[in-house]
Amino acid sequence: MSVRAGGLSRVPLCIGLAFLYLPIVSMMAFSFNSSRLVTVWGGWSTRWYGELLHDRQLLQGAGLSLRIAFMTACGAVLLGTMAALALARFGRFRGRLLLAGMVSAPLVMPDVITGLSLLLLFVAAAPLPLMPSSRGLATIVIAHVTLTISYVTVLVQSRLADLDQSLEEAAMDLGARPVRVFFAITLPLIAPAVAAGWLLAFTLSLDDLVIASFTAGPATNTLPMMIFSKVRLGVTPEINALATILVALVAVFVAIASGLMSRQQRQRRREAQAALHG
Amino acid sequence: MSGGSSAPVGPTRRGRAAVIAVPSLWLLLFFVLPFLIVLKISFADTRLGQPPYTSLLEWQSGLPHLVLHARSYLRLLGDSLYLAALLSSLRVAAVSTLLCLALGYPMAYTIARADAGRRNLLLMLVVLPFWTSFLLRVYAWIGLLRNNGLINNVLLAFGIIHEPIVMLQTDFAMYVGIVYSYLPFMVLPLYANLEKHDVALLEAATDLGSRPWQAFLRVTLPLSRPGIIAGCVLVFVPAVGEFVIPRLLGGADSLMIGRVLWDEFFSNRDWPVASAVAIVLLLLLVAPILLFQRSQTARAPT
Amino acid sequence: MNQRAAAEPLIRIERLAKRFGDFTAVDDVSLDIHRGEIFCLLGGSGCGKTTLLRMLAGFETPSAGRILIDGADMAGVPPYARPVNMMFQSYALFPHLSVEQNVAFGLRQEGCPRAQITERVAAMLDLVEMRDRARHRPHQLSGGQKQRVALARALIKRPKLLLLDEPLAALDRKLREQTQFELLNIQQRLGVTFVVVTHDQQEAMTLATRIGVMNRGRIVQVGSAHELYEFPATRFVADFIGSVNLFAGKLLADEPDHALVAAADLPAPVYVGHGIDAAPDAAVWVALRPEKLHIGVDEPPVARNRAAGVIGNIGYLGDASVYLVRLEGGRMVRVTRPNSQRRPDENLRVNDRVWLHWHESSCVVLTQ
Repeated sequence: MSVRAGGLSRVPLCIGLAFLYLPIVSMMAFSFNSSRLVTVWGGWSTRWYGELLHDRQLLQGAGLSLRIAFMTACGAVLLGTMAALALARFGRFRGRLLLAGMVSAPLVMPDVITGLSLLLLFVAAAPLPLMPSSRGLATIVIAHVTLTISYVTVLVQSRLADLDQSLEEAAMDLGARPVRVFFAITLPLIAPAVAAGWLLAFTLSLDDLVIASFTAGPATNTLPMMIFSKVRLGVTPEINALATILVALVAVFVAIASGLMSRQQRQRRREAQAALHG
Repeated sequence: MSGGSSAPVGPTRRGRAAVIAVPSLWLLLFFVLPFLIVLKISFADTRLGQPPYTSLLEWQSGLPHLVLHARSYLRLLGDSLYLAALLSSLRVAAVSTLLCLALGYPMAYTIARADAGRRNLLLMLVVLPFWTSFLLRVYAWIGLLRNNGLINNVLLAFGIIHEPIVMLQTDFAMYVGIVYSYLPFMVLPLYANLEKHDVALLEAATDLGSRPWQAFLRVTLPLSRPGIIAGCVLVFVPAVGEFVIPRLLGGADSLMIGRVLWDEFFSNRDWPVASAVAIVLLLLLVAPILLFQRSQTARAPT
Repeated sequence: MNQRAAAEPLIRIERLAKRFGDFTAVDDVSLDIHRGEIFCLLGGSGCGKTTLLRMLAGFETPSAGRILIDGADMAGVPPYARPVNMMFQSYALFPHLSVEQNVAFGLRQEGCPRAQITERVAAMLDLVEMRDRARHRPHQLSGGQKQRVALARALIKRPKLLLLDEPLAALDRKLREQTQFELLNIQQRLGVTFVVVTHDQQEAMTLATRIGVMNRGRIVQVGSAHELYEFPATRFVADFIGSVNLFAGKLLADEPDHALVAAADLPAPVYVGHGIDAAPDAAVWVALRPEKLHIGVDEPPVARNRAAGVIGNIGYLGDASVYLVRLEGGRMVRVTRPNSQRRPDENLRVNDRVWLHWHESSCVVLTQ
């Protein structure tokens, strides 16, 4: 094609990718540095990994963060899918503008503002029944869910918009009630978007510092909060080890996911070819 | 065929109402209501004890009176610190947005024009860092930019410089950090837009005599405007309130409004002033936020 | 079959209307559809036929009027509770289910026992000749195969009424003809009532027992293909179905057994072989179908119902030829003639002077 990007425009892409990966690669390299100092290369060592695994506090924080992230992802997917369904399928309804606004606003809101506002809410509502009386896991989960609903909704809504509505109509025509239609037809077809939304909410929750700082109680310490306080004190090579583990996990996961997807694509192509000749 | 089926009947209507109500109520309760509370507290005064602000309703001779303290807002207007912080935040956010755009647009363009197989791989490469911890990556930059960090060491080793360049705790480091963290937010919307461009349009332009760069200016650039707007808003607005990066990478003099808010809240324990700062920030950001929402809902079904 | 049941229409549509804001999609439509017939809603895009179909299926609620299916008022009855099934234009096959599972879907919603489902699905797949592809997924099927699966899926529930939305639109010409006859075949075997929506008049004429022509939300005329073609009620119908030459004119004489119309484009008044019930001096139109016009070099012996002209253009279609003849007044007239000889151009060529004439019973006079 004559409009293929010329070699010249590849340069920014390479620069950008190098820029993106430089810190990651350097962290991974130095996680194996037996010396504490960055200036000196002390030889290969996995001692920081050992120290990491023995750091009880850090592991506790990690465990807490994982639990929070899991609950957040489940909650966000539930609420976000509902919101996406309403916005994509229910046409014009009273309160549509409000819901659409509330769903897209968190996407662009600075973390400090949402963090502050939620904390103030929890403090003001503490004396009321049903509300958590002290800040901790529950308040962080509530805050994270509120933040991540938007991301799930965006993903699911876009997938729903692409989904042919006559599929759902056909199901109804054949005798399925709306609830049945959703679970038998709609949900299987939007499952990839829902799964992506779950992962995104999980990641965002796991990574969040600002909002957790505001909404966590004095006793609660999530992993990012711990890392932040450690980092402020100085560079600890343990952190490098942690980062490397994280990157490795993510890379492995992404490789598996993309491998599955491309296998699915190849299979589809093969079947399509067969149909043409069949 | 119109999108969205017509008015449902009976149990379906109730079911639909529930599906609409649940997320709406949640967001009203945990997103909108908190802002109202922030507004309320911005008009309160500090006091010792819990909660550290006064109530707006005071009972005088048996009747409730609304007591509003303008103290917080007066303080904001009076002390030039806040204005300076606000302006500097806006400046930093704007510059970061432009830098992200300058780097992100060519990246998105190249990816969009690549072959289908390559495209997915490249996208994944761009998004992958995002999945790893943001905090850890910022931390990594600390390690790179320090006086005895990797970059300085390499430059010293090659004799390019004789003294370490001070990069950490400067504006430069802050910009690096912000652009680094927000780059995916610029690339993805741009890519989503550019990918949809019909190559036939560009071919038609070149067919009618345009040079490639002319075709780009006249066809591609205008068509990618929605993507540019989305990307810029997604970078600019959160960047204004960015707190972590300036704290870790920026100097003590790089005053950002997010940091001011944090300090007022945690260090000074002055919740009303922190709330007032939040309200002012929110008011400033309303315009870009609405712009973003307009571009989102423009694609919604009628 | 019970005589009375046969006499009562399966579907009665009474003064049905649908408005979307300011726009009226369906305007005061009343219609009866009989058991076992194939009824075609024919019209151009935007005429309201699809909206009408969707109201029958239950996907749109009428703004006014009502629909009775087998005597039962369908107001407030959702699509999943109606004895109606629909075959969608895009087929709407569930992509994540196999052919078998697609066809079985409706029966599973009914709570049919598993063994019965398997049996009925197998029988239906045999009927549409898709048994050997039972395990395939929709994306592995061709257009025609998808259509057969969609048909099987809709028919397996033995609905009283089957709605078909542009069933043949996505198929190429050869496949279309083949499928038309397959549809007819299946319909006759099962005896299901069909309502077909289409913009293709040829499709309508082939498939339908009766056709309802729609324009701008209203039913303009209902009748068999023959009735609509030879006895159109309005200019719109005359022009929409097939081609027609329309001549505007004035009614000169109106007797029980004949009428005279003076047309501006024709040299002499048209002699119509039957009476027309219209006011004297009324503005009328004479409609002449292209195949009813005889074209020849020799002057016709009778002085009535003839016109002279020059051949402007000839379209050779294989089985017939279309002649565009310019009359002396400047008016272009379309004439069709079957090529019963292998060298039809031997006596008729472009720029030849020719005579057109037609029988007095060939013309239709339209008052609207």
